[in-house]
Amino acid sequence: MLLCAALISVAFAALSQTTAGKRFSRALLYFVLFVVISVAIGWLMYPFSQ
Amino acid sequence: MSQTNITSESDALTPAGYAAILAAWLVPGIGHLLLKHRGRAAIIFLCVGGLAVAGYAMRGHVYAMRGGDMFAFMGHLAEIGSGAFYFLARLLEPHGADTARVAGVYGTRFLAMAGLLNFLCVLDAWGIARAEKN
Repeated sequence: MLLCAALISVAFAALSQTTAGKRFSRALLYFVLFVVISVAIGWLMYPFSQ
Repeated sequence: MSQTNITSESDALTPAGYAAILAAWLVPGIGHLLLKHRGRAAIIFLCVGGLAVAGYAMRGHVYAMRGGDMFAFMGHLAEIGSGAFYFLARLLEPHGADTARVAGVYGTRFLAMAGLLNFLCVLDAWGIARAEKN
């Protein structure tokens, strides 16, 4: 999941921004959001797995 | 009664623009390279290629065109987006998919993700080609 999130974040940042600095910060933001939201959805689904 | 043209003359791309869009689908990043966006091209190639190679290494399922059901057809549509990586995976597939293990299931998602990401990149190439033309 981390590899997938990292690669997609970098690609999204490259598509949405033009300068290297903005791309880096946006990729970091997307990556953190991907991971946090994925873990949150995982915990939300946890009660239904019992 | 007048008829509205959705695509006007100014929206039509040059042959080079169409070639760049086709190339962007066939080999991820090449379309952007043709449009002189080298940095973006390299990032796209590495990201789409990385996802596709990782999916293939995890022995994800490479869907054929005649998959049988709607899920397989949608999987094929998603995976074919990665262009050359999809055709290489179909060609090289020595052991076939191994979706009995969790890695194989993840691999299938990686392959689909690579294709869908490249579709976005093709749209971006189309946008750049249109902007450069106008």
